Amino acid sequence: MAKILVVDDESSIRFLYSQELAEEGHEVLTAATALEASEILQAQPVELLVLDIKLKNESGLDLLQKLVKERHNLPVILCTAFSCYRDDFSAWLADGYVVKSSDLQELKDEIKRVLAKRSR
Amino acid sequence: MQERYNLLSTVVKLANSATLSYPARLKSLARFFAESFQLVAVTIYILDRENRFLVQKIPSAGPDNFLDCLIPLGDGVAGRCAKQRALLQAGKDQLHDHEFRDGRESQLQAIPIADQSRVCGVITLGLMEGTVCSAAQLDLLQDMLPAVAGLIRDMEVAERSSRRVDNLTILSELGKVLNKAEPPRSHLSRILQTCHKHSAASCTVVRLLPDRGLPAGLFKKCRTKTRLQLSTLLELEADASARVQTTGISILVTDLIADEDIPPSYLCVPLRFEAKMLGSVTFFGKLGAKGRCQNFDEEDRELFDSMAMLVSNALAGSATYQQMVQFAAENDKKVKELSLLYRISNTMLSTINLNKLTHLTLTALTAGANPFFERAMLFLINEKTAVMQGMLGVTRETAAGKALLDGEWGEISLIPWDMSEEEMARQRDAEFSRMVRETRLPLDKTCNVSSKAVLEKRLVYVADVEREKRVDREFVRRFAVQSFAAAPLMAKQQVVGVLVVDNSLSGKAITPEDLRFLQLFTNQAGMAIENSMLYSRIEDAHLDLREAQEQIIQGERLAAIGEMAASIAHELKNPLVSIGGFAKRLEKKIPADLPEHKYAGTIVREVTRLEKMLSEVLSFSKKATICYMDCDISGIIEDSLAVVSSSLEESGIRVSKSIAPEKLQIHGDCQQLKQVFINLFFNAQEAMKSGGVLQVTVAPATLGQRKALAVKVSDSGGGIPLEILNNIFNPFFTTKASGTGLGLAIVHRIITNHGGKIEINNRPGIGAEFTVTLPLHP
Ligand SMILES: Nc1ncnc2c1ncn2[C@@H]1O[C@H](COP(=O)(O)OP(=O)(O)OP(=O)(O)O)[C@@H](O)[C@H]1O
Ligand SMILES: [Mg+2]
Repeated sequence: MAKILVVDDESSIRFLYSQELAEEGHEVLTAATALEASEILQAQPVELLVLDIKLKNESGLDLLQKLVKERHNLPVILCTAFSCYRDDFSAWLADGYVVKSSDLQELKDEIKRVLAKRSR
Repeated sequence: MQERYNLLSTVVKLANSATLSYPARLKSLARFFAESFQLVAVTIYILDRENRFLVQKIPSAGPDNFLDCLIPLGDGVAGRCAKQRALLQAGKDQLHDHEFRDGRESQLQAIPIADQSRVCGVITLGLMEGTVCSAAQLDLLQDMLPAVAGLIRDMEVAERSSRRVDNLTILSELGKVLNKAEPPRSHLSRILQTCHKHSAASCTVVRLLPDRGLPAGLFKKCRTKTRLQLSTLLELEADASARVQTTGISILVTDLIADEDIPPSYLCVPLRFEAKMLGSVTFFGKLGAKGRCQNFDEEDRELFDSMAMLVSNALAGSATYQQMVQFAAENDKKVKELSLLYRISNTMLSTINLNKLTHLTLTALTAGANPFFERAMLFLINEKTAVMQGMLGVTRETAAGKALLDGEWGEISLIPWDMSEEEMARQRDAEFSRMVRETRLPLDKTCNVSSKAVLEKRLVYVADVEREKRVDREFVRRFAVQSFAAAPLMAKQQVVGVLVVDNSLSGKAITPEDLRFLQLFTNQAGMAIENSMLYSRIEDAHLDLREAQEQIIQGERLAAIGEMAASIAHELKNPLVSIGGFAKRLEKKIPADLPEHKYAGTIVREVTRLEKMLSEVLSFSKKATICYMDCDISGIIEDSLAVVSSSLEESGIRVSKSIAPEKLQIHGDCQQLKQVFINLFFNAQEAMKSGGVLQVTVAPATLGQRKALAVKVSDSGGGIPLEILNNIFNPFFTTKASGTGLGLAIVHRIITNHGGKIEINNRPGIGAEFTVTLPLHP
């Protein structure tokens, strides 16, 4: 399976995602801020980034843009609270896009899809 | 997204900024649009209430107030847009003379401003040569228009309330003029002047009929402009007045067309006192802004009716005054008392407290060193139980201290004649008054002759109770009555009470002059009571006014709530995701036979419901942009049916489709349109829980001039109860236990954004049929 970095400023969400994704067989790292995320990415190879669009005091979209510039081959799935962010052009830079829900099936399917696309 | 949100919130702020006047707010919105979208000029036009003309404009570059204009619906760019209720693009050469021109624009984009289903204005965007307004920009702008529409609505409400305040001021000013004691002629000219000034009429004609104790004839006041047409106006007046006198109902004529340049509208109201026609007042006009004449409306009619009532009462009063003067001349000895009494009547006319009025009335009859009567009693009529109920009694003693006739005439007449609460309480609590309150007389001529005062509306005099069989014996015994008179108190042509007077303490005879006086006096009292009723109507109007103001506040509150709802929805989403997510984990981990498994399941279900609601709240308060593409309508219908198919099957619903053979393509957002039909289908399914037929037909149609298609969705679920029909499109209105009430609100929003419309053909007891009409190219 894959090494996934989850970036979200809500600890309960990080906790939930790491539990659920680990159960799917992934290795899950978490970061609460863009800075933490960059540090982890510097330190070790990561295969997929699951990124919340709205981080405290910073925008996940800015981080996304930076990351795309630096490591253009890192796949990113954006998570948002509501579907209206789909309209934002910079969201198109991401490889996948899910609306947050208590039902994680959509996220899991999206991870599968993005990883499969990459390995081809 | 952020930018979009910023734009929207700026618009909401500008629209609600309480420190700016309404036009200033509209101006700053126009300027804000012009700057945000880099437009040459943005102009907001406002449609009149009758939907005939664009009557005001406010350009982004203009001053902070409205500029008048008169653009008929269908003319120019904005007028055409308002008529078609649809987006419109046109060259600058098509502008109406009254439309705003910046000079730099070559093209104009016009967008209707809709408030619910009514178009209340138009906004035009000036585009420079070679520039266009992108679909996305247009869309964003349209998103902001509800704020403008709301502002226009608030403005109209505020206008209506201030007009109501104006009307009240007019009535109270008229009241002041009327309460001045003057000889009838100068009184009349003052009345005419006041009516003319406040009615905004270009010509006012008062007609008084002969033989009413009033100076008969025509009295007119005209502004210079209309004097030339006076003869035509007088012809119209004669005709209208004649009609009003026969029917007794005011006439309102609007949109008068004639060869001459006469005002387009007139209003003729009757002057009458009790059943007697005194004449009429006709108002021509009305003068609007810049001397242009406009139509009177129903609100004017109501105002003028009230004015006429006040005037009639005053005229009747001065007619009574005339009679009294005449009468007094013949009876020299009472001249002083009578003149003085006229003053009292006037005091009563301006007393609006009904309770005080009754005290003043009875006191005036019995007070003074040489009172007209020794005792006076007031009975009110209860028609239902057919009784006359005693209310108040005043005797020489309890009226004492209110000496009216002592002292010199000049001196007393200057002192306002009034009564304090304590004095009234003292009268009420006196033994005599208590006895009166305990008295009930049957409303029956055969055993109570004073009933005739009510039933025949006339004065009744019983010279000797011993010789009159039809008197109530108990009444005679209780009050030791020997001879008495009963006079009807009339207000609004109805007998509201009976005044009973006598001199039984001293046994002094009641003279014919006394009776004639009683008659005049009760006329006055009746008028005063009627006035007081009129004032209580004014008080009602005050209440209406307060309601209107509350409506405005409510509107602003709603806008704020909308904003708050969106931000709260954001805050709630994350915690819900983790609560639901963990509950799901628990549900998975806990063996199904333990009760905890069920508990977790409940949490999961509830969270899912809340999540659904949240996303709907948000999609309602912030509509996602329309993503235009060519959509195949039959595909959309099929896809939507597929979503609901299992629910339809479950309820045993048969689907009957009839789709026009030609391929119907529409330019729109497929995703959103799917949402429309899914919502409609779910509603149909929910209405047919125990089976039925869902019928879907698609056919070509037209919308205004444009090509369109119509989709009919009908069910056999019994239809929509009439009492809720008006509410079903309101957000959060639902009759279902698990509904959010957003289904139809969203449907409506999406369809309007696509430039379409939705109609209901409701057949109570049978089913509901929704028809969605969408233009092929919005
Ligand atoms: N086809 C129909 N037949 C009878 N009543 C209807 C029909 N469609 C709508 N209604 C009435 O209109 C109300 C509002 O409908 P709407 O779709 O807005 O909300 P809802 O269906 O109650 O909730 P939700 O759509 O969120 O489940 C319904 O509660 C129902 O009373
Ligand atoms: Mg519904």
